[in-house]
Amino acid sequence: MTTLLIFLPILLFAFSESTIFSFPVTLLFILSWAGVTSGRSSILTAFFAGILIDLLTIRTLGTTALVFLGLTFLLLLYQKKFTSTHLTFFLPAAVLSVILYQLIFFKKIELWIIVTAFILAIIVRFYVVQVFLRFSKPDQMKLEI
Amino acid sequence: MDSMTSRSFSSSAIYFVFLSLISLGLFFLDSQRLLVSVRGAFDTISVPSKGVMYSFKKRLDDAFSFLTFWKNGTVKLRFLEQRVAELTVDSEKLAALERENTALRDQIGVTSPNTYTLILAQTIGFDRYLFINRGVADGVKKGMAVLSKDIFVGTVINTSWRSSSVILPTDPDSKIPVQMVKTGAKGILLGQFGSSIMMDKVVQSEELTLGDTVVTSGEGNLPRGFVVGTVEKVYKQETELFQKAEVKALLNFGHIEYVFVDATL
Repeated sequence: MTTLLIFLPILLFAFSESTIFSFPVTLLFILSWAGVTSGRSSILTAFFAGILIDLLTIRTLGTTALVFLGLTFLLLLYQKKFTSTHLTFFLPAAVLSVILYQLIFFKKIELWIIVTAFILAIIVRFYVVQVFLRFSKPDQMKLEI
Repeated sequence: MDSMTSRSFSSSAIYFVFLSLISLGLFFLDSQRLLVSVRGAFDTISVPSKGVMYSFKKRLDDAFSFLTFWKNGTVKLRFLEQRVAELTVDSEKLAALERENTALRDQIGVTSPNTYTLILAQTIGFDRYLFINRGVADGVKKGMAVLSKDIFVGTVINTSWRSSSVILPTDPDSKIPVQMVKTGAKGILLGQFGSSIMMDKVVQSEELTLGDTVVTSGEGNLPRGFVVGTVEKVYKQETELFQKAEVKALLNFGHIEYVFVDATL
């Protein structure tokens, strides 16, 4: 169930990013997922989501996957350093990641992107945490809420 | 507990290195166009889905467009009515000139140079680039010009089996050699990190006039004479080597439904 509730939004967001809006909401989702699940699972999710975005946006295969992998791994390093998965630690990391992503793929950064990243990071994080708390086994959790 | 966390982190690091290497491998293979069949299989499902999503988005945009229309709609409508009247006169003049031109061509036995091989495509998405539902399988190649009603939309920048992405003149990476219709002044059209376009590298001795039409100059593998936009503002300083002009695109790229890919290349 957790897999379905995580992968279905990733699929939907990846499609939306290449058709409806150009905001990296898939990245926010992956980073939120990395905040609650094991490192291996989050790295794998980042890779597959990146490949999906590459296919949908006709980028050279592996480009977004590499960026997602790098940002997820940086978040894992950051979490290890502070030994915390709290929202106050997650938010700056998520917003910075979105800024980096925008600069790499869109070569621009606007104020609305930062504001949207901040708001969406909270919403997405809330969704992922709820899904994880309801459907995952207690020994899989690494949350500090 | 600490050793467990370290062990878990090391395993993540191994995964990270392994998957990064796979990504690099995929990057290399795709750069060499060796994964076209993979993209083809994926396009079979993704292209129709993207088409449905994008047309739904455009319908939604249309439904909410009245929110902006009530604000300045009447003024815009009056301006457009006046513009239609002016263009009708121009169109009549052009039709007469075209008839005369065809008669002259017939007399000297020259065929029209403006014969293009066009591929009709539907727009299926828009992020930094515009996505269309025609790709390698349909004969679309990188560098081909994309048009909408004889107006330049952009250039194909990436191709997949059944879809392609088009770089728009507003993109910061876009560089289009252009010239003015009335004065013949030549320059390079550069995207400006947003929606505006700047005509740059125009030598000081050339004349830039407000409202003049900007067309492709025929250099840089692009056909000559495709309309790009009109001059809105001129920046001329005697101390500078070149003068610039702000160009307004004739199309709202987010609202285009169908385009033609010029496959004459």
